[in-house]
Amino acid sequence: MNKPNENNQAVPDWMRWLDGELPAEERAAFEQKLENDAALKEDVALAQQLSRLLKEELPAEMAIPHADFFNSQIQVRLAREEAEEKRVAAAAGALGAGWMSWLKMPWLVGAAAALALALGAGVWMRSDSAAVSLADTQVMSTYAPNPKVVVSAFHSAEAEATVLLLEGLDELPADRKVVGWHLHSGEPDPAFGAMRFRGLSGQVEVVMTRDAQNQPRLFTPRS
Amino acid sequence: MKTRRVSMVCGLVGLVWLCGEGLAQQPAPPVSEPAQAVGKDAKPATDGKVWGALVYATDAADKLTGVKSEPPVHLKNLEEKLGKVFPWSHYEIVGQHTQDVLREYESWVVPSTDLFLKVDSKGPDAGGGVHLHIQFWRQEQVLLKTDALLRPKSPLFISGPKWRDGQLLFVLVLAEEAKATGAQP
Repeated sequence: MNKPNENNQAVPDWMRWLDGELPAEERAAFEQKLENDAALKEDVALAQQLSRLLKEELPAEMAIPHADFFNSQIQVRLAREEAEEKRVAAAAGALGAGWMSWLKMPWLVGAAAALALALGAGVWMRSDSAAVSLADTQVMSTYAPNPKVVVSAFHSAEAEATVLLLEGLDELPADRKVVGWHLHSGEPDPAFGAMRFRGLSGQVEVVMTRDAQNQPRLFTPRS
Repeated sequence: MKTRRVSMVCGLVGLVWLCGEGLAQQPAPPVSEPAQAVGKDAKPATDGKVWGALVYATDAADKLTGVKSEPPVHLKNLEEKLGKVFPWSHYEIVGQHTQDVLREYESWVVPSTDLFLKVDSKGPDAGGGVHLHIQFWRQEQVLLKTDALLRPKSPLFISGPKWRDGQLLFVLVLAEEAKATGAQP
C-alpha cells in the first residue's frame, strides 16, 4: 500500500490518517498522494470499510453488567492464553524454533488480546459465561430457546455462588398453585420407560413419563 | 506490511462475527434419549449426587406458602446466600429433591410440578465436580439449556419466573461427588 513512515516505523501513514493522527501538513500530503494513487485509495477504502464493520460490531461504549466479574473473566482467559502460549513455546523449542517463530510476531499479542476481549465481550453480550476460580461452579454456555429471554451469568463472591439470571420470562399466574415435594431419590423404570421418584419414606411419590411429543409429564400416583 | 495489517483486520472481523453471530446462533444441544432399560437388579452407575430446590422469594411474609422445608447441612445459610444475590427479604423452600446423577441415563431434579431440571452427566472433572448439561424446564417448556461444571460447595442459582409478588428461584448444588466404588457400567 505505502512505504513505512520514516518517523514512525510502527504505524503506517494510512492507519494514522484513518485514526486522525496525522498532523495537518502530513495529512495534506497524504491526501494529495491518495488522490493520485488508485491502489492506495482502494486499500484505504477497504480499511475504512473494515473499520466501520468493527465499530458496528464492537461499539466503543458498551454497558457491561457485573464489571468485576467481566474483568475477572478477561484475566482468567489471558492467564489461560499465556499458559497455552508457554506450552506451545515449550513444544516449539523441542521441535526447533524455526517454524514457530511466527508466534513471536508483535501483532499476535494484539490479536490474542483482541481475541480475549472479543470473547469476553461476546460472552457477556451473548450471556454466556465461564469460570472465575477453579473452586467455583462454572457456566460454560447458555441457550434460551425463547428469544425474548435474556440470560446472564456471573459469580457472586459474597454469596459464594454462581448465578444464572433469566430476564423476560413470562410470569406465573398468581392463582397457580405451585406444588412442591421432598424427594430423596429417583431411578429409571425400565418396564415403563419412566422415572420413579421416592420420598423420604422410600415410597414412590412422583412418576415422570414422556408424552407423544417427548415432553415430560409428572404424575403423583399416591394422590 | 499492508497484507499483514489487512489480514489482521480481517481476522478481527472474523472473530467479531464468530462472537456476535456464530455463538448466538449455535444450535441447541441435542436432547438425550429417554431412559433405556437396565438389568433388573442393576443399580445404574452415577457421577455424583445433586440437591435441587425450588425457592419462593418475596418481600411479603404473608405471601409465603407455609411449607417447612430445610436445606441440607452444607447449605444451612442458603437464605443468607440468596439474599446476597436477589433483592428479596424472605426465601422459602417450596420443594427439594436429592438425585443421583446417572452416568448412562438422563436424570431429573423435580422439586415441583412447575419448575424442574433435566441433568445429563458429561463426566466428572479431574479437578473435582462434575460436568453437566442442564435443561431448566417450566412444565412442558424449556426455559434454558446450559453446560456447567458443578463444583462441590459451590451452588448454582437460577432465577425463575415472577410469581405472587415475588419470584421463583432454583438452587442446584453438588451434594456428593462420584465415588470410585459402586456400580460401574
